Amino acid sequence: MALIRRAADGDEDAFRALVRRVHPRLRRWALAKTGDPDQADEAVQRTLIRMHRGLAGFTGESALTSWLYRILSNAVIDMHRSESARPTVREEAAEVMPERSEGPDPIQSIHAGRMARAVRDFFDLLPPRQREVLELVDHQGMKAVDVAEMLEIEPGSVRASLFKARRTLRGEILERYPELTEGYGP
Amino acid sequence: MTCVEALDRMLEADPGELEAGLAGIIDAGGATELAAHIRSCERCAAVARTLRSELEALDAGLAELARDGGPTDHGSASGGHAPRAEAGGTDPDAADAAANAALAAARAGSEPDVVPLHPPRGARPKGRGSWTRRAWIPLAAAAALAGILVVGQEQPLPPSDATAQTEAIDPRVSVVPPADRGAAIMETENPNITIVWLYETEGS
Repeated sequence: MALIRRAADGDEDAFRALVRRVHPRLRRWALAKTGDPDQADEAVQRTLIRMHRGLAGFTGESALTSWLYRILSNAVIDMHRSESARPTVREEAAEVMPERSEGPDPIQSIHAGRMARAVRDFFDLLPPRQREVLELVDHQGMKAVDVAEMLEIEPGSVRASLFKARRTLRGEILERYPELTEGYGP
Repeated sequence: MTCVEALDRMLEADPGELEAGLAGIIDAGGATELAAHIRSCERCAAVARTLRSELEALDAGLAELARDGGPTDHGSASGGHAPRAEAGGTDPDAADAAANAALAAARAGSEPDVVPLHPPRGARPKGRGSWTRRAWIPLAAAAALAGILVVGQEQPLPPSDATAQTEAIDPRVSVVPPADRGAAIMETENPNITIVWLYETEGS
């Protein structure tokens, strides 16, 4: 909280230190929400600008992460509104991405093939809400009830999305290893 | 628990539950049935190990993708697991660049297309609730009126120009419905507007 107060008081070094702490998490959230690295960058940038302006009013009543997530969510919504002419979610770009000619596919640039395949499945198979929930619960380690509060949805909806996401991804994984499930029966 | 049941449970299980089974963490009170099965069944343990490995690859891949937003040449990507994002596995230069850009934008006073933040639950503007209530009052009244008029009917049908025969007689309206339909007439405060509702009768 001291760092936040200093940043709110105009200490730019404190702000940079704060951004270093939250930037990786913000970017993963943004990736999960948008499904597109470029849009994730833009969403993070908008979020940081609003964070800078809003720090003075941040009282600490809610967790900083929850506060930032709401800012990020609104930033993504604004982007979708203002850029409705271009694809805004990964689903719409999924078929195009492997053949994009304007530069290397960010996912392909991940060196390990297994990681790249897992990430591609994550974006291609899961709708945004399921990606978001899986990222927050399984990767960030948040509780479903806290995620529900952050996303302003019911905990039951969080769990439903989470289970669907897990089942989709894991089912896809097991299809790649048929020898593992041979003999399990119908 | 059978292996088929265990396989189905593994598709939705918390990663910690898979881990508990693989690590043999079976304490007196916390052991789940699935974890116990994984511990005792090598075939299911192999499935759990594969799932764990692939899900770790996903986590590492997302961390790599998030690291600096583009192609990277970090050593951690070529082997082993990249650190979790919250563990600081980021490119500090990228974070600093983002911070500097935000500071520059803040100094310049520019901000793209901002809408107000969602207020937290319980702190929504009072006007919204009031507006909502105001909007629902006439709707609720109309629904109640319709319910009274069509009591005993499961699903009132909307008016159909093809079947309704209406004859306007100022200032009232008379309706001759088809044989299998009933009709309800609702006059409004506006003398130019009268609502005619045709509905199925019980025998239709």
